[in-house]
Amino acid sequence: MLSNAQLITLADDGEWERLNALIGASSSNTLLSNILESARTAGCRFALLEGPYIDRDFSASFTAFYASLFRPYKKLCKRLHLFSDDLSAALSQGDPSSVSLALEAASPSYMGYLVLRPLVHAPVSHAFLSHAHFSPDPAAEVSVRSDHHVHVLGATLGLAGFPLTQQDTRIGACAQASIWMAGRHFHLKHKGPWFSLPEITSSALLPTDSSITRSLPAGSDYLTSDNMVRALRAMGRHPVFYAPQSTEQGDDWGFDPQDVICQYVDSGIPVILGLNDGQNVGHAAVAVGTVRADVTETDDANPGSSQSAYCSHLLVMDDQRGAYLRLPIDGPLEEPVPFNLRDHLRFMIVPLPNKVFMTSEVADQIARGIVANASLQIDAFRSQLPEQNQSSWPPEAQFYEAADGGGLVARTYLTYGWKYKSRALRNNTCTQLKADVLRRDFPKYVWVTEFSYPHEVCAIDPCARIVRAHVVTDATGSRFWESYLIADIPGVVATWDFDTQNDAEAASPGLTFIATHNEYFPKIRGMQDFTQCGVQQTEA
Amino acid sequence: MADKNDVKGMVLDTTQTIVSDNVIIACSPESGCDVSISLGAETVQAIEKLEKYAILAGHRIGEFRVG
Repeated sequence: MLSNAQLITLADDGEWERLNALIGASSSNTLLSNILESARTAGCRFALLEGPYIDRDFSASFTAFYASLFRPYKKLCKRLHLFSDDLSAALSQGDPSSVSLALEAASPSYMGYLVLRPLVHAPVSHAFLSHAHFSPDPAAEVSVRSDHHVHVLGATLGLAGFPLTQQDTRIGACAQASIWMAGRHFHLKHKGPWFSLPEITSSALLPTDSSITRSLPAGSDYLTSDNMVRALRAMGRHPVFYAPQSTEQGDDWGFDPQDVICQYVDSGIPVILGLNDGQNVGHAAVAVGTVRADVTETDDANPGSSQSAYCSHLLVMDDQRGAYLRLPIDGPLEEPVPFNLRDHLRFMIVPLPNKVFMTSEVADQIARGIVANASLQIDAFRSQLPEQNQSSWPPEAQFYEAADGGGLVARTYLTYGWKYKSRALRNNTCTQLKADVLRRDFPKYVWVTEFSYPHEVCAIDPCARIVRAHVVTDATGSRFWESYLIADIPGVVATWDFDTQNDAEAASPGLTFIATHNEYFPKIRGMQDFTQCGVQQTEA
Repeated sequence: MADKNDVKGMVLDTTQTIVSDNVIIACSPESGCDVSISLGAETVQAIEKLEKYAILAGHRIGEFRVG
């Protein structure tokens, strides 16, 4: 199929207006105009418009719905690529092979793409925008992201981010869009199944019910939370649904939803937020990151709580408003998102993978309980030591004083067992912990809780944060048996082990008392080791 | 090359032999040390409360709608 690629320089207002006219962007379409405005603010100076372009997602929608209409829609789309460098000179050379090479050389300036479908009311079929370009603030971290490779004009361009789509209000609404975004992320990051919007709607409507058939086609106006859970389950996820209990005093969640959302997002798991400001039908957005407040004074920190206390906003993907938008945790609303978390969150759905049978708030509670229990027994532990070691033990005694007084900040996240092992062996943790980690097998997923003093984790730069202790919990565990696997607390390394040779006892504890205490780095997304933070790796 | 019979009976136990020189004492029931770290009653109750909230937050089908 013949396909053209237009080169569009975007140096001034006139050229941006020319682009808008080419792609039919207008102020009436909020999502598209917001994305282009964000791109311009982020330094976009060049665009490459491919067309006609066959998009797998819109082809699925066309097959499922638009081909059946009396109005003769076409299935051909356009694909718009955005760059922060002006490539007009590089791509205008006569030699075809130099075009491909020039594009690949420009990969660092690639900001992402939008696929534009022939629907005037909902032109964005999907988009994948570079988080590094669209959310460059070092205080903002897009924790839920995947690598993606785009093929254009014989070149392969790489970027990282989170996928975005727009509801078309015929096949689906924002509910389906949020499920699509989460599902497409799992497909890109974890090789999960590929689902189109019609397939999501179809799964959501099994079984169908009277509430969902108040619109035609069914599910085009809204979905209920039950429909959403069904669709996520059909996609192979194991969703956990959170909603508050209604009381006379208002909504009672039983925990702080800000903590829980930040724990899952920190784990690289998107959270679907059901937001409503009093309407009959609310809005769904997907939380993919956080923005840290600039906390420089210790008094402003929030001891006894989780690291979410340092976050001022969530970063969300909104199918009607844009990518990596800031949703305030509390306080005044900020354009373009007309909600804040504290006042408008009505429910949330976390699409967990299989083999996670413990929620984040339970894992967090277990880890805090382990540290508290160790703190209670410090004198008993000390009495086990040789007399000459008792007076100087435990190292970092003030950690236990802080634990007793609720003066520690906890950060809980889910990670692969093998990744925890890899990081622990490369971090500045003590030799005894490394020895215990090395000789142990871990389950597929573990919850890790890092403990720090409040003033040591408020820095924007993660390399400037310090961890004093951590607890690793089996993600398939429960409160019915000891579920922690390893606890590294100042002066103590505790383990629970299964002895497969011993039928009498399923598991047994181990305690090692050590003389010194190590400070180490927190888990830092995107870092396989800590050399960037100055940890020297031991040569083999 | 070593004869195959030479390696029979050799126990490769490299990871188990790694020890830290910062260890004061390794505590286990076999060594007469009967302390351990485990979840206290308060923590178990807190977890039970969380799990109870998950059940109490019931809702009518169709109550939460997003579009």
